Amino acid sequence: MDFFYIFFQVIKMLVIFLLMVTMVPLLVWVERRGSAFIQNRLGPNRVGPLGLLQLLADAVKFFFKEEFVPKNGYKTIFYLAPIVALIPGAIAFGAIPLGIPLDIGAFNAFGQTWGPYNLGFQSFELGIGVVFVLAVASLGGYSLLLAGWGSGNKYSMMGALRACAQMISYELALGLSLVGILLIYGTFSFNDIVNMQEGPLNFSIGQKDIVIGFLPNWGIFFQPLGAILFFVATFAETNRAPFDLPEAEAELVAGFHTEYGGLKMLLFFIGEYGHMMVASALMTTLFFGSYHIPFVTPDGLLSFLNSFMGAGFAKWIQFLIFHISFMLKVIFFLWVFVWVRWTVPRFRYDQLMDLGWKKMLPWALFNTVVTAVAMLLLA
Amino acid sequence: MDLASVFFWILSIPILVGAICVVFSKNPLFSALFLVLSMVGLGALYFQLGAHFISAVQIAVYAGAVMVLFVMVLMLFDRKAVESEEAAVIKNSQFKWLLVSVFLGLMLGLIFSQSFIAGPDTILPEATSVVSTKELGNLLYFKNILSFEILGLLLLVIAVGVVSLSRIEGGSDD
Repeated sequence: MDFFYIFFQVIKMLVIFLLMVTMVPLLVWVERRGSAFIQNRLGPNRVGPLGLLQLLADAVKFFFKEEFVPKNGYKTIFYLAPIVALIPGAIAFGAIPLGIPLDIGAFNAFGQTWGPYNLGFQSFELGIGVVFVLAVASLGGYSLLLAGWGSGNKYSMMGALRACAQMISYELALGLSLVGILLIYGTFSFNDIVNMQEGPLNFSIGQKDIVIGFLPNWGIFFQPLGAILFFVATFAETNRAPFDLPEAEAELVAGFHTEYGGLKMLLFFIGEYGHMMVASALMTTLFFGSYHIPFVTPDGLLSFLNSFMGAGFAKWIQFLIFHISFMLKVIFFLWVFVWVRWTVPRFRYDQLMDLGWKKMLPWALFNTVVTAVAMLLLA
Repeated sequence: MDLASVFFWILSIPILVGAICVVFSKNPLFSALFLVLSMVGLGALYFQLGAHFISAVQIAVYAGAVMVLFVMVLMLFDRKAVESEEAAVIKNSQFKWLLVSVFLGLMLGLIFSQSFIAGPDTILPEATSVVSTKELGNLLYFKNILSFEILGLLLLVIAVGVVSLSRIEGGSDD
């Protein structure tokens, strides 16, 4: 706990937070262009190359919108809700490792030797990472409730109540669908789970070790049902189509954010996309090998890079390649979010509740029991 | 003063302010929201003590599940009716103060008697060491099996009670 250690930690937190926030405008662009692509339109393509600067124009527009609080609303709560919306996603994202740890060798500064430091590419390393992310994500309901109630508007209120009931219902299936993978890996720590997914697919039945060389050692091959249930439940948790009942336009105008505009609206957007990124990152980390590249080991890549460049430079390139590998997987799942939103029609509310309580929860329980029994019998 | 106690004092501000405002707020919804603040602060305090798992569960269960339901139910109240009944609330406030002071006395008595018996620096080793799922399972299903089962029974009673209540009041019989 010396000066540079704390300094590096703070830098890391800032970088990861900025990474998350800067992803949001890009995601908005992907969403708008993607929806246009799916619906055979063009989408925003006028401002800048491919319409990428549309986001900048939107941001300027957001800044100059009129500040406005509804007459029947509660001012404090109305302003608090968008800020609260940002917090859970940002904190949860910080607990997920985004790449291999970076070693910084010992160096001299201020007439003293510092280091060496081993910095994991995550804001904070926790032994209970999975539980922590679920706990923080469960606070997401408050921003919706506060927004709905603080607006003093019946549409907002109904949207908020729907959203919150939906989030609580699907939290059960979400938590239970992860129990199987936690049983298999036997730990809550993201770093341990990531390390266990390295190399080719291997497992042991009784005394016999089985290695399947052409598949990577990813969680999806052990828990296919768990992965599907988890991904579906995250759609409901993020309040996105086909579960976007809180903002069903035909019934509720825009749901809980009917009264919001400008920057406050933007904060809600960042919150929603933050949730999406956490969901995609969790999916990648738990079921798709996190930053690991199939058939490539970190050491193997480093020695390959060392063969034609300096050792210090090769380390950074290796770090970058694994981070890009992680981000590509995350971006794929983010695209699935967009893809599903513009492909699948919205559920009716009773269908949504039926799916959550009568189908996904029993299947998640079934998955847990089968995993536990299989582990007991095959161990 | 070391770093840990600095964090302790910083965290104690939202916990205490939240707890006091729960009692002092006239609007029940603000009371509930201040309780959430207090709960989250408490979770952070557990975290700072090294009991990471308890901290996460504290946030997930109390702040993330129980209080969300409280806030949801309170939001369903008619706000105008709540405001017009504020006078009635003030009339009933003697009862509130009585309840609060009894609980305060009880908790303070418990804390002081405990800290005189055990000393202030005892943290159960189990609280800080739970990292693997196996350890957690052993703690829950072997060491503390009785309390775990009793809690399960309590939750079952609550679930049955909720179902029967919802059937009586206007629920359909299909």
